[in-house]
Amino acid sequence: MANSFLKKKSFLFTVVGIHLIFVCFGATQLRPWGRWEKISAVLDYYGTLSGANSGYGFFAPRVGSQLQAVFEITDSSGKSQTVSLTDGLNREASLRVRKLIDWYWNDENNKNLQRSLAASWAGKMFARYPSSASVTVRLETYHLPSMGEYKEGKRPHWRPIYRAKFERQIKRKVNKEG
Amino acid sequence: MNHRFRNLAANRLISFFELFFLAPASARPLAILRVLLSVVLIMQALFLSSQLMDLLGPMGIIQGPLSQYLNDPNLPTLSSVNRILSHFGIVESQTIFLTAGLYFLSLLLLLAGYQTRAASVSTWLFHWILFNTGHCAKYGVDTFAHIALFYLIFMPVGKTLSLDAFFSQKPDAPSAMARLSLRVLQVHLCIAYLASGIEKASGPQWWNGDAIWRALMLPIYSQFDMSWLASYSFLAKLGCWTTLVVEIGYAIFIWPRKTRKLWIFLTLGLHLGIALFLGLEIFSLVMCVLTFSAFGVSAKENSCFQKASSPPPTSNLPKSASISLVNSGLASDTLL
Repeated sequence: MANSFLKKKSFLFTVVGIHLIFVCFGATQLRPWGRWEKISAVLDYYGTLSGANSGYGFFAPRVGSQLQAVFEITDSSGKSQTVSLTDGLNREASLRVRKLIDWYWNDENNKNLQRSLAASWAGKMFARYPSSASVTVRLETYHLPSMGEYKEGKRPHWRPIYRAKFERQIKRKVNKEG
Repeated sequence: MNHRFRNLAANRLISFFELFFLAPASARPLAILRVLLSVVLIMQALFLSSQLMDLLGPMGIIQGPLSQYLNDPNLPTLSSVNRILSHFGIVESQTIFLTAGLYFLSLLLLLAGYQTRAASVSTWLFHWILFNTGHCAKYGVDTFAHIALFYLIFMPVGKTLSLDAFFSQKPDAPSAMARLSLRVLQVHLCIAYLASGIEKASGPQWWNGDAIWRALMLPIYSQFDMSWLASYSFLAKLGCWTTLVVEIGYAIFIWPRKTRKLWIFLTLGLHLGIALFLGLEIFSLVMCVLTFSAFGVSAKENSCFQKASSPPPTSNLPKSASISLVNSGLASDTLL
């Protein structure tokens, strides 16, 4: 009885100990097993499914800037309106949509990805506004002065970093007989 | 003599670990974690329900192939679920609603504590699938929800405050498993806060007050006009330093009884401040739930379903181990 309890206790301590070591590695974003390819796949998978590989650097080490996507919707008559992906959303949904926009920054050197993201957002806007003929995507970053600069009179402003116009392709019916 | 001293020290250390990790505890804090976490995640699900297709759908904000390119191909996503369900004539949009619906149902079962273990597994699984699919839109709340849901699978969270406990009429007898579960959660939270605090402290923004200034002024988080802070920069600096003290100090001051209440109060205050001033309500609620249930609920209390004539608490520890705990002169809840 005592022997089986000791075995169970040792097993539990080992499992819990290994898991908490994983948590420590996740928190520090270290992956010392990275050089062992086969084992690292298994360990990484465990880290992902348990959440043990999570980092906790929220707002750390710095609070960055903000990116916003503005869409200029123009219909066939030339009438245009400016909208955003977050219009009319509640706070929780809006935060997530803004996270999607932040993906533009995730790989700044990957121009293909950036263009694909802009095209994807424009596609969404074409679906939301069926009468639109074109969608212009404008990305802007928020320039916030420091507290000292603000006191001296500098004010925050949006600075454009990207602009692309997407036009709706109208599928024409090919008249084979003609 | 030296050898005997070493043996004595080793025995005391082992006893300490046994007492710390295995001294019988009530499952009440874990049950409260289950209930409160379910309530917050149900609220989140309701907030996101109207945007399900935009966030997860193939014609959403991140469309079809791009979404697949950005997702990890080794993790289960709605696309992989749909590959299976498509054999039954179910299309992708139906898969999304089905998965989200099952996730919501699992959360309700988890809240009620009905078939708790199965509900924990399904909640964790569906949350993981949805979280992997929408990982481009994830933020801190999803990380902590995923961690907590994974723990709920193994923890005795249905032993009390649940329909399972009500139907079985078994008392919430203190157990070593409940104590071990609680300790894992507590240690994990300490690691998370410590890592977060240290990483913040490594940047100059958290020393000169700029981090709070920026967080309060960025349109994504800004809830009030806080521009007046520029004239009182010492307040921003104070806010940053207080955050560092609370987060780094969490791993130390949450343990001793004398400082525990103060640290719970400071941590909850920090998160309520984040909810109020940065508008991160769901994230803050999840963090409050974790700290409150891990450290704010006594593991000594009896379950509300426990009968008045219930037997005295029984331990899973064998007699010899229990004697060694008693001999160490430390009782479970006077330890810290």
